[in-house]
Amino acid sequence: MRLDWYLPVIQKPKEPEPPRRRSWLVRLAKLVFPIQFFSNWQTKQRGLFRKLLRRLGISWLASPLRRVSQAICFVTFLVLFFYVCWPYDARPSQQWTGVTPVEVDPETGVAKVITPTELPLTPRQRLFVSDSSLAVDDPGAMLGWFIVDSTSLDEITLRPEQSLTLEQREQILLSLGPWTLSESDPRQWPSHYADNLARKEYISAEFFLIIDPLVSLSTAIASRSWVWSLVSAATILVVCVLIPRGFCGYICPLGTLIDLFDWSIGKRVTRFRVPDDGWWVHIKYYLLLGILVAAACGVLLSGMFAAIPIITRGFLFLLAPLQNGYANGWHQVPPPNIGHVISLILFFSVLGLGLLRPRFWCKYVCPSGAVFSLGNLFRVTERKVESSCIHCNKCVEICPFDAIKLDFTTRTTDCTLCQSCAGVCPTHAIKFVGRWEDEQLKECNDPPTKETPLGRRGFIATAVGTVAGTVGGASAAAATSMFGANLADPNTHRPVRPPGSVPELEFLQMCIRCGECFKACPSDVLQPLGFQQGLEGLWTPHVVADWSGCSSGCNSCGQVCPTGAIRALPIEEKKAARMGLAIVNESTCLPYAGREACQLCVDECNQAGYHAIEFQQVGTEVDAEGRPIEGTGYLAPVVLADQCVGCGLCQTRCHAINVKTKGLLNKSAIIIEAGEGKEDRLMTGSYISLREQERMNAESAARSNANYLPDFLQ
Amino acid sequence: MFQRIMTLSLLALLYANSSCLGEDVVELKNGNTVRGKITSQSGSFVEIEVVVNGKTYKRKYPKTLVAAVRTGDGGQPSPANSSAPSRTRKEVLDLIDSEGRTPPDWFDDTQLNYPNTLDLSWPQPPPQPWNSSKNVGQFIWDRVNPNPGQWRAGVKLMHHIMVTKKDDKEVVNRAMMSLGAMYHNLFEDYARAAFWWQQAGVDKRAVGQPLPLVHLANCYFQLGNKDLALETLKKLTRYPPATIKLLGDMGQTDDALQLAESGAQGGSPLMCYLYAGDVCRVAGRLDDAEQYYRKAVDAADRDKGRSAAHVRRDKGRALASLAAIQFYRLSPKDVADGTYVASSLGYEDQVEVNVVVAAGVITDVKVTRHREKQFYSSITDTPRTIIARQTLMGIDTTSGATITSEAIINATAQALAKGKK
Repeated sequence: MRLDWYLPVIQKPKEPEPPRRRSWLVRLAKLVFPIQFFSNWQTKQRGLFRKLLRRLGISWLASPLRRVSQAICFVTFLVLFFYVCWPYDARPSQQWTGVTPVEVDPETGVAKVITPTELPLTPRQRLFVSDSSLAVDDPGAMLGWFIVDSTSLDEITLRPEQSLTLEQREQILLSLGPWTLSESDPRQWPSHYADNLARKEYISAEFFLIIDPLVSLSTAIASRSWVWSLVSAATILVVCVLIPRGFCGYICPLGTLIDLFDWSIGKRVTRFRVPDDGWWVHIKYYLLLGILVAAACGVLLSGMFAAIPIITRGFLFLLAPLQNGYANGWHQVPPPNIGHVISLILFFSVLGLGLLRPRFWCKYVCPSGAVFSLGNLFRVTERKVESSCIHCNKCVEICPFDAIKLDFTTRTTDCTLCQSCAGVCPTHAIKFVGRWEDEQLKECNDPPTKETPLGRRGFIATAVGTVAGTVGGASAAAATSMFGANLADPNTHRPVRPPGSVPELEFLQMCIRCGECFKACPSDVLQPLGFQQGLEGLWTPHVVADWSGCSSGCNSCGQVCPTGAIRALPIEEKKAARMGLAIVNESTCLPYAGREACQLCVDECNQAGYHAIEFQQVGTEVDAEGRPIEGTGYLAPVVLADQCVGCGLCQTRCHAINVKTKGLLNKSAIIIEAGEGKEDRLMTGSYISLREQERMNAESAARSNANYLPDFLQ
Repeated sequence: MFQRIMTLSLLALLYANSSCLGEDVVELKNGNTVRGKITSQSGSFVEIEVVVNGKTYKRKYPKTLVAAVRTGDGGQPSPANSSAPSRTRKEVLDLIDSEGRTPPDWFDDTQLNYPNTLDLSWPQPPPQPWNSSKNVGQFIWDRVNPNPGQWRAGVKLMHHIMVTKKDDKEVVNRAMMSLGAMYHNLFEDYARAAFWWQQAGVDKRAVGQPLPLVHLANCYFQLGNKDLALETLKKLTRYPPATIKLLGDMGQTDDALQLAESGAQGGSPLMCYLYAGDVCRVAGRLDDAEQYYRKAVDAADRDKGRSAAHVRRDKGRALASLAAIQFYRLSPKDVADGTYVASSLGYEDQVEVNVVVAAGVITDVKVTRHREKQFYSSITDTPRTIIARQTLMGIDTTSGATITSEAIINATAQALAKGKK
């Protein structure tokens, strides 16, 4: 088995060997591209490919496939982050009113209509037609789906999408309009944000997060539950048995970013350089140990150190506000909190480690990398050096992972199979073959590696590291939970979590704090928690309803959550999932306080389609006989606990108008609260059936109480 | 460009062209009518050519869907309210009895919804202070009336009280009176309203409360017997101003105005003149209406009314009607194409409408801003009626939401006035 892909094809063949027969790929390439692209071995002229790669850099020339893969993965990461998780290009489905049907074919239902203005329609577009002269709940008003056949100025021909029943045909024939054309069924719950994300998600937005094995592994251990992304973690680990630590060399966007940093800044600042050998080289294992011990104690720390969460959060707190501010206006960028600062310090520290050595983070610190290093113990392939090695040291110089020993053999747990070494080897001595193939290999320990079998110092160092990792993990876990969310205390801070969040205890164990949900959330309803729940809740998402309310047509947070801490709910389920309950402050709410009439929250709630806030007459004056005087007092809001899902739109509105604009209040008079009985936190199961059950109970209670006539009238 | 804007709603077309003689009419099964030139009636189809935007289109209907075909019809729209039923005295009373004894179809599925703290023994007068989670009447006032979503539960509560407290005659009577008011004011269910008022005996007691009796008369009228209604009104010893509106609705305009004048002498001129203005307006006597509104405004200062708030609101309404009434005769044909926005005072605050006129036809009326709490149906019903009728004359205000629907008509009138050619 050989896994060489460092382009030996563009290398000069060894002198004594007869010219190799080129692979079919090269032969195909030679057919397609002009001959100038290829090197000429006779004249020793470099071809254009080689020239181009040389210009890009020695590592591009040595192993172009790896650099291309890195570039593709990094660009993919950027696209997923900045484009797929960008909700603001979603538009609510459009409607056009005042459309008049002028001819309807009685057999087919094909209708010719005229429109008030020219509409931006394209042939074959699907449109829902309703008769706007009838009330929306009139069953005759809904005429169904049509396809645009042709358009000319103000005339459109619409063809029913499916063949019609007699009844449907009659309904269309009898309707004289005006009609309304809609892009979606007007009775349908809005879903434009959900549709927008689904449309853009050719690969899932959280792709890189779910293939970081530490994310799912630690989450599963901490919550003691099955985490669906374990499947992708297992897949990538299996791939990495074939390509040991290939994730780090080929895929990891943080690694690529560090490469970019090292190339642009790191290599220019040399005063902080450290040697390639020291106490730090095994930090990653002890960090991984600590994280797993903490996870076993039920505290999830991996979000702080795992590779993909770090880069996601770094981009989120650094670049996403710029994207948001630039596109939507700077007033749309929520203010940062202490959590942002800490995360950014961490992010810059990770990059800054590159000043010590290139890819210092990846080589020595990254706990996700440590998982792959351990996975390397089960590798089936590895880098091997043949006896033709001339000890030129070129491979050691180019190796980005310090994975080559002094005798030019491989540190197998560190090698990422990037094949750069082979690409620079002047004698083709390096090959990537099955782990157990040992033909023509060079002698080990020549020159001496100065490595000894585990000595006393090594043993002590390992022991100290292991103990430190274990104790550190356990005590971090203990400290985090002690000064953490403190869920047993009824008065503890209970953040309003995104819709579909699992129960709080499990949520804290499953939320990796990657920040993907913040990015996907339209208008930043979800923002990172600071230290309100101690370290345990740092960077977890909570609803900041003063800033914005949860859009009814969106379910993105659950869709992009890599661990299932927020369940990926279909929009119908999300509509029924209660994330909190709106509580009216009756001492400040303007009508309750007798200050002025106000119904902002009621209007907002009805507009969103929940109809969860009703009125209550307050402050009615009474006449001498104690009878109420009509027209006195105010109508004040009352929240219906069985209808409110806690979206927070009411709070946003009250805050924006009564607090910010008019300055009438210091704080919104209607606040979303979470806690027992105010929210649905399910690990599994349907929120719709929960509501259905409640409805059935209520109805059966109603039936048992169906007294209409008193018996003296029966 | 002009051609494109000149779009006519077919429904509108039928009224816009209604003066043309010699038009053919196809009346459809669902009551819609198409006007144009019938080209073929043989076979199983009726074909009619209609002209929209200056272009001719051909509509074709299977005869199964056609109710009637009239050729050379003068095009008079069928009179409004022709659908109002007419019933004999016995039919009305039988209807009331049979409807009243059966629960409404939503009754069984409606859940009782009242606080545990509510005192179902319903003492009268209610103990001080005001407490809507304790006193039934105050609960109805505070929590049920303002919320359409609670009306059914409110009715159910009344039935619940009536059944569980069946031995307490006074409480049962109170519940029945309340049911009458709810079915009448909230549901426009006149048969059941009449049933419960009858059971409570509002028409039997010598000195009943006047308002329920007026409403009972309205029930009889709405159910189709005007004589029964008038007979009921005769039992009144004093006439609340609402009688004026009822008389006006029944077409007894002169009686209504006479009553208004005497009521105005009797101490509530503002209300009486306001109602008189409304009566004249619906009857199409716009000049009289204007005078009455003016009288109402003049009388506002000396009227004590029930409260200062009432006086303020009624005066506001009179002023709003006064401002709008001069434009009622305005035909959309005299209005330039465009979109016009205007507002008029409703129950709570200004009601703003957006009116679109194209080629002399009102193509759209939309309520764009309002703070009306209840009776949302008038927010959609009244604009739809205006578009269908293409005139503001004689439009019945949605019963039960008079003020809101009046505000929409007034605002539309003022909007049209802005585009007067």
